[in-house]
Amino acid sequence: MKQKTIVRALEDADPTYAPAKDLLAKLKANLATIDREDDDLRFRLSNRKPGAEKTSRVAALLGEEVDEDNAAPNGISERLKANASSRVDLRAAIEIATQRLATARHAASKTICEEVRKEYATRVKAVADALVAAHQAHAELLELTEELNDRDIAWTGSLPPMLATAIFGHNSGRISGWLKDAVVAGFVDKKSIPQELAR
Amino acid sequence: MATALQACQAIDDALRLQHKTAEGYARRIRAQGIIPATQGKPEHIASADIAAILVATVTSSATVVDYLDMRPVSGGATFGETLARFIAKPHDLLDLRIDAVAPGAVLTFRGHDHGVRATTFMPAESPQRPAFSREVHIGPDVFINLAHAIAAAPEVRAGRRPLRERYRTYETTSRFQENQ
Repeated sequence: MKQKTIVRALEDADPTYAPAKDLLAKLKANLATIDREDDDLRFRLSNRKPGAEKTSRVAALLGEEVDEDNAAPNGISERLKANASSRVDLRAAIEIATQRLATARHAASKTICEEVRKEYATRVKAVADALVAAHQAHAELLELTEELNDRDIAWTGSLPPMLATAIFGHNSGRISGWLKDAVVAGFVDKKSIPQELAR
Repeated sequence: MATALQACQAIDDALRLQHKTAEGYARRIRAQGIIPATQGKPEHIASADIAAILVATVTSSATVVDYLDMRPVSGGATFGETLARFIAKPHDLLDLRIDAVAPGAVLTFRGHDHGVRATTFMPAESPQRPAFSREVHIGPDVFINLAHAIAAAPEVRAGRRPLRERYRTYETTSRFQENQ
């Protein structure tokens, strides 16, 4: 039974990652709130009824209900101004928080990769061994079909051809290419590769 | 260096998209005059133009000017210029996240001090954006594959093929630019 390797989450590997992520999410949510409010304010500004000069005091004198937009004609603009200044601050904060998150992510990723490296190498080695074994099995199949051909036997009618040249490549070229990459990356020892697969 | 067509094919290959996807977006932004039209003349495409095609492809939209004109919050070159630099020399790029529904991007790269640097690009004024968000993550492998494909693109020549090539096999003749 194969043991399951646990790849830890970034939050576990670096204690600064989770707070940095939460902080960035919070700042982005704040920015989205301000953007939504601005949209709403601009909509109200463009759809305001005429007679905007009627302030609350005038409306009270007339004994009318006070319209919120008309009560303070400059309220919307002032709110937009306040939002613009807080947007500048939020953007600067988001820039710094993004920088912290990126630093934490790469630090945590490095830790996790070092933990997983051994298991990764084991699995690559297993693939390499399986590929070499598959190549040898295929070579035995080829040997049999060549013998059938040599004796001029019409075999393809009763034995459907199951040669895997399309998968292995010509002369197992695809496998030898993959193995060469594995050797260069240091996962496989060059001496363990059979002569016909060595490049 | 690559022609526009070769660059589009390289983007399709690097992003593993369907054939001619990037070409379609290139045609759309060329119609707006964002990238130059050199029909019939196989000229090398500039990195900035490749950046425009790439942004149009990953955001699935032809409104790329807002993206290319974004500046970092802390000041600096525009997103288009920065991306063009990394398309030409991608070896310090670590990660690119582009907001696909409204202008916005985060570029992570190896800084001068070899530390991780993240730059946040935002538009000068905040546009109305939808309530949902969609981010496209592009890793360094895409940029490295793209740069290799662009650097290794075979030279194409305009005009008729040389007469001596009439007697050569197809594989050894010079490559011609197809219609754009």
